Amino acid sequence: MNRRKPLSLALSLALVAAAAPSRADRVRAQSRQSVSASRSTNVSRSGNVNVNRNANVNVNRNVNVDVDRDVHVHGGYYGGGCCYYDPHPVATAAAVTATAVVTAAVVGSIVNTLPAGCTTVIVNGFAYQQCGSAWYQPRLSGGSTTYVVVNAPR
Amino acid sequence: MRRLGNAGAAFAALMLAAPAGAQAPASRAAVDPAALKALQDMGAYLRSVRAFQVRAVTTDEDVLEDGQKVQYEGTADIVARMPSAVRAEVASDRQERLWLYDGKSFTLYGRRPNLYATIPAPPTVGQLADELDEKYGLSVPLADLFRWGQPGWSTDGITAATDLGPSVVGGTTCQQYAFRQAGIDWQLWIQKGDYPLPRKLVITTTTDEARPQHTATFVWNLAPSFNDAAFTFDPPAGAGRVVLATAADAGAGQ
Repeated sequence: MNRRKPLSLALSLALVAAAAPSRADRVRAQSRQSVSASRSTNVSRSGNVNVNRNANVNVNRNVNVDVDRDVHVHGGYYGGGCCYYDPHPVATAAAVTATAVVTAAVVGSIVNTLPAGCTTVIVNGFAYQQCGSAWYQPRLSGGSTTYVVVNAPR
Repeated sequence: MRRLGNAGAAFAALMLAAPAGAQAPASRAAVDPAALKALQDMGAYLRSVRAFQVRAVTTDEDVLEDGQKVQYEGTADIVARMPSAVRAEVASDRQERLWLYDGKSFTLYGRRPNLYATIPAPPTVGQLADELDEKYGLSVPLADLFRWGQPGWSTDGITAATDLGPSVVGGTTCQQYAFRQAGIDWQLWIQKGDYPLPRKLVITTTTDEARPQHTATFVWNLAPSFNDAAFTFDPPAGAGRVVLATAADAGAGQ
């Protein structure tokens, strides 16, 4: 996973999130686990953190956690609004996602934990989580399971 | 000294340090060809082993935002029939994963969420490692054990190599080596004698000032017993099939 969002975005989103992320989630770097050349620059064990062989040092998990909590806290309404007008290129990308919002969780947004009251539904052999009117597609990685908000499969 | 003032003192200190300073970088940068050869020999030996079981005990470190380091324990149990069958069980404080590869398909199973993802796989574990890396941002467990000695692997990136002498790891006499390359300093303990296996690996990430470290110690079995079923996935009751996260998931989702 390779989510590069600026720290400023994380901080501003944190303002609208009800709960602060755990301190242990705020990771700025991780030990690299292999010495031989790997073609990508990601280490996958935590799913969300880059190992910084590049200059982008302060990408960290709380970015995603805050984004996730924002989605959760507002229970189906993306109420952030903090970054909509932020001209930063990455924040703009987030804003584009936000414009797609109607009344449910943002399709395409990624969360680390599901809201309460979800049920597993198998569609075409694949497991989804239905949480009220929102559908989440679980995605497995080496270090985490993330859930992507999708349109209702069928 | 006092009369010289700060600038003068600093200059004097520089002069005093100069002889040592002039030599140290040169010796640190030295690549001992014998150390490189030991690494290459170990790689060649690893690739000559047709089947193996290895258990690794690992520690990894995260650097928290404020610079504090925290350490996580883990284990990895791997059974491999090279080059086309691997079973790896990886457990840490944070997750349990089963990696299964039988030369045709690859499955990643998450025990705690009881979810699995299966994809078609290339014919060798080396190719699989590259594909997982590129498309899915996944590093196979103990990836070095599969990459050392592979075609295409080289020691070219190593900027310093030093033989640190004998060292005992888990009761086995090894030779300890220190290497440097871009972004990491690392140490390797290679078993002495007829079976030059890696017995311990320490990787220090140098791109963060807190220098988080990975350690792994390896216990080897070169005569493992297993059957084909060891490499194929039989979904446990209730396990849900999902998709494998891709490297591109990073962005705005789908």
